[in-house]
Amino acid sequence: MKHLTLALIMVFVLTLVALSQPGGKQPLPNFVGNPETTATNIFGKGWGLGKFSGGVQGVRSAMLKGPHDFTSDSGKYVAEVEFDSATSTYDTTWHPTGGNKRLCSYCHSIHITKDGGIAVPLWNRASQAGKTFGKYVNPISLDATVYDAGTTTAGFKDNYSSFCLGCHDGSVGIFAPTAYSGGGGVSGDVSVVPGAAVLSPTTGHFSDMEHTHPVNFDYNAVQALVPEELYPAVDPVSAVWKGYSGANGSGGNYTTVRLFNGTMQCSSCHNPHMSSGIGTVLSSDYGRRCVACHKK
Amino acid sequence: MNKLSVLLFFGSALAFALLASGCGSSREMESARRYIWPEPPDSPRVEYINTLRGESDFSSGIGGFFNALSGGAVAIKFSRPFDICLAGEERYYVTDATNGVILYDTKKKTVEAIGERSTIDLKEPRGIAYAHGKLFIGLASSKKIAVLNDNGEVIRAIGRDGKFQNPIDIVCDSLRNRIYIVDIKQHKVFAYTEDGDSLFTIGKRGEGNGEFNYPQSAAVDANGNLYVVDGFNFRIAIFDTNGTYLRQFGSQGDVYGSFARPKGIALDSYGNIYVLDGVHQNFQIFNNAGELLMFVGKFSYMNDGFQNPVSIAIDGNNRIFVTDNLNSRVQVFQLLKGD
Repeated sequence: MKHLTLALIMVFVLTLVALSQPGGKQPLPNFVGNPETTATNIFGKGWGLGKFSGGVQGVRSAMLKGPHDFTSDSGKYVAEVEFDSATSTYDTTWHPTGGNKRLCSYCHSIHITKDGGIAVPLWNRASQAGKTFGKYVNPISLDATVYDAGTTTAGFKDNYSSFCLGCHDGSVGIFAPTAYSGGGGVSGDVSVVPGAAVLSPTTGHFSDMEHTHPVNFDYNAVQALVPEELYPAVDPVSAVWKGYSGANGSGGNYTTVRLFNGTMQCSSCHNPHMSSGIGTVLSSDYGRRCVACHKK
Repeated sequence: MNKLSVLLFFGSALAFALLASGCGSSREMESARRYIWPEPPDSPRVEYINTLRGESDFSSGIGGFFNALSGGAVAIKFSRPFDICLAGEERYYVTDATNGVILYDTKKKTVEAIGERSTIDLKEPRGIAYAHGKLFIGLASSKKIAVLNDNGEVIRAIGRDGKFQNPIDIVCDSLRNRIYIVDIKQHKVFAYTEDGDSLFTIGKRGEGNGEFNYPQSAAVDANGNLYVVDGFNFRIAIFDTNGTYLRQFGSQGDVYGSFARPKGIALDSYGNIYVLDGVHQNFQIFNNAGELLMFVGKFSYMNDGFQNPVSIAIDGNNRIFVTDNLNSRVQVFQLLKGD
């Protein structure tokens, strides 16, 4: 009995030690899928954030001159946002005169007041005076809660992917996934997942139309309907991706397919903070990536 | 087809059928409700009037649905509408990421994918414009501009050498028989005659006056001045008919009047400037001095907003057309009072 207690304590302590190691070998709670795949890949190629030490700095240096560096003078970046680990917040003192050197802000839209004031629309002075569009008072604007601030229709899904698709619609990047589920009126109902495009082997999320994959749907809702085809998400409820949170960014270690508020999104499989390529998660072994979710 | 695919198919097919037949309760409420901007007590300026989805707009849609199930021809519908141009008041051309170039004819009540009868490949169409019986289509695949007549026959190609890396928008200055081609990859705007002769080129990558960082679209006013949406410089740059830089307005941010991901641009008959934004999910209306008048839209799948709107066009009656990319539709509004 005494040995058993000791053993339990040892396990407990070892677990604590493991969990306290940034980038350590603890299993991540927020992944989809196949235990075998995640176990063999959890120390492999990361999603990016954990891979680059130094939190935001690391991400930033990794992104410079990468596919998502949209600065007009790529490479001459100046620091513009700092992470305060004590409060887990960001210094949003942006540099309005900094021209295009705001590496993050092309996607993480920022709160800037024009000339220190807010424009009053001349045609709707009464109803709209003194407001902002509101979604981006938080510079980490990909957090889903920003949509709940009266700026969108109730019941809307967490359209993280719309951030990607705003450019990947044929303008800057490749064409959009045809299988994006944007709501459609039946919130949370899997029947609005994908469109018929999902089934078509000839349409897809690249312009070559060879591959297709739906995004922006509740993963476990679908998984429950076809348990023989998909692995359940390990911890979908708490699987809110917190990119830069944790120990100055290291908490964002991302080594497997990840859900966002339980939903499959572009960035479930693609790391937008990549330094090159298309930033796919897991190994370059295509099959391995698939079987993180798919049983067959 | 595995079980997952079947499930997704019937799920989405059912949703489609409900939508097409109009029997969804939210749908009925939607059609009964008026959408007017701005809200009272300000006087109304813009009203939502219609949604264009595809062939089903001219039939019950159910026929097409069962037709598709039985393996027949699938009704043509907007999937990822990108750019739109108005060929008169009744015919609209739309480029679509999935379905190519679509001609939506409200007089004949037909919707047609014109690539099917074109003699050249119209793959990956981006910008599109129409003037004097000529349709100009920017092709990202072959990196040139295809020019078609009203019968869909190719009469010319502009930029045979792959001159245009990504001709994301084309706009006509029909008074001067001229077209402007916005190339987002080269960060330039090219001026051509409608007959395909090169006139001049505007801009290079940068943030100085007259320079661009991912230009997204353009519009021409009554005087022939060119308005370019300079996407990642977050501003509207204005040039005269010689391509000389005149002025600019706009800045990055989330406050009214600023841009986060400016996309399409158009002008109404009063010279007011409409700019779509793919993050704010609206279009903002500015007067010619660049002062904000109001904005329309939010992130929504209802008729009060958009999901990633891309392109905007305004006809002679100040009807406003917006390609609502992720909602797979074109939204139509009417300017009620614009002076």
